[in-house]
Amino acid sequence: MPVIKRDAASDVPKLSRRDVLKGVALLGAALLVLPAETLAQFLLAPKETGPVVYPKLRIANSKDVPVNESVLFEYPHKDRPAVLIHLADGFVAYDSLCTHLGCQVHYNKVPALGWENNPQQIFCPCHGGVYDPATGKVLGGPPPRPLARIKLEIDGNGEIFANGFQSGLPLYGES
Amino acid sequence: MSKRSSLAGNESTKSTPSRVLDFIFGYSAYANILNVLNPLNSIGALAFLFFTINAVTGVMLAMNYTPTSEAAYSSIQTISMTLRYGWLIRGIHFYTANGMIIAATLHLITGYFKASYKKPQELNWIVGVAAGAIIILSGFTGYVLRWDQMAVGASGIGHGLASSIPQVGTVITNIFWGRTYTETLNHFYISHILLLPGLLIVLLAIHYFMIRRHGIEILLSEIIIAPIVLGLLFVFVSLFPLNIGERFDPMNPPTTLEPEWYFMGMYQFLKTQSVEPLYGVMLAAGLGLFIVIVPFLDKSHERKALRRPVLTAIGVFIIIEFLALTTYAYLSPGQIGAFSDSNFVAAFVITNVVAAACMALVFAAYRRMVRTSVA
Repeated sequence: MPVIKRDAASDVPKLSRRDVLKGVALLGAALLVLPAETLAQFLLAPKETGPVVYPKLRIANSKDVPVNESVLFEYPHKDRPAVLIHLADGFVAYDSLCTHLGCQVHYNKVPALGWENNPQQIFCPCHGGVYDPATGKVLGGPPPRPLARIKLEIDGNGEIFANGFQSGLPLYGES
Repeated sequence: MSKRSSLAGNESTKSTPSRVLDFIFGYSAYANILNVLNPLNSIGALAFLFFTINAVTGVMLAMNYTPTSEAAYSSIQTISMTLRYGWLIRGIHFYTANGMIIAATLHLITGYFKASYKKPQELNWIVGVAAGAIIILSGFTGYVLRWDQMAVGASGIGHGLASSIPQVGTVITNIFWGRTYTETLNHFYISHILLLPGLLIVLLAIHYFMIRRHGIEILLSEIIIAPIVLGLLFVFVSLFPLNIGERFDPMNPPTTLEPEWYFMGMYQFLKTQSVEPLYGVMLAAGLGLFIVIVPFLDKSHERKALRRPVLTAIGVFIIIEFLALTTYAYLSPGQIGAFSDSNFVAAFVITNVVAAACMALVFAAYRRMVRTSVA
């Protein structure tokens, strides 16, 4: 508490310069600290609100994807790469961010150095992670968990749709 | 690096202009031009010169850059191919940024071996290390702005590394990464052109004036080396013009992805078998912490490197390991470093034998010196 000195001749309380400065500094600090949480929002990227809903999205027609070929698409939102693979026994689709450090994985692309012998695997171009295209499980390298598997629906005309995830949630980087 | 000497003359008898000159250039500046021309003494000044040139070219580039995921790459194409001298400005910005990293690293290394961190420079040493960290982060945020295949990959890896840190990780990723590419690019752009350089200017100002207080001149060397450096930069950019990387295309991802050269050591470490992302973060943080606490580990008055054999040996070890990791990363793109691979084992053994031999040499030289000085 600031000491208030009373002048003998006057009833008006006198504040020392130091007290005034202290008060101003404290008030200023309080004004900055109180809305800190609100102000911090300016630093952070806008967050998604509400429950996560995975859209139903058409990927391709099954006639257009030959066996052992793959199609890249974005799911569940823009800028999130995913891959649809046509295996001998049907279609599978995975979120294509590597669960190690988030690079985009490939299936059956140009064989990378070191993987010439087995291009029909899913591999990561960054740190050499390898996944099994049939299950999404890790076959080698540093990834800690399998790729998230996307639920597929194929209608009578052979149109392939992505509709949510079968396993692997939360998605890499979006927990 | 000279102490304030009597050559500076009696302060009270000096005229005002010469006092101003003294304040800017250093008290004993005029007596030490030869000293300044020694590149080892002016390497910090060189880093600062690079920063100055980098800031000017950076403003010019920022005026023509569009920070959205759709337009970023095209705006760099426009800068490089349509704008007059755009290729030159971008080249100078790139090479001075890399030059800044090299010069700052050499500045750190010479400072370490010459024990420049000793009293009264302990605090300034820490300021310098912080500035170094910001320079590296500026390099990272800078190359993400190119928004080519490598940039997006690097941004993803940075996200992965940051989020591997418990508790703090999500805060960092929320600050620097958005949910869409354009949000992310915006956060990187503002960090690169506003946040990081702002912090860097403050730190460099403190760094500079603390050195000045302790009587070491720096600006004079700036002025002497500036024309030479600028000339060399022009030649360099013309002889080795910058490429534009492959345009980022999520529908056609690259088959191998590598970072800039200064992250290649870390990249190799991360793609070694059973190394988790958090280990990489811990390695970098541990190295930073070690450099920060060096002034408090070594409180002796000894400044000669060979008379402080333990720290000198540790320094030699770190440099050799870093160079080896970097070299091996270039030799094995996209491949896991596994102990089942004979090349990897050979590289691992050779590196550590060489590192151990160099450390032994340091101790041998120390013992020899002690013996001869006793005799």
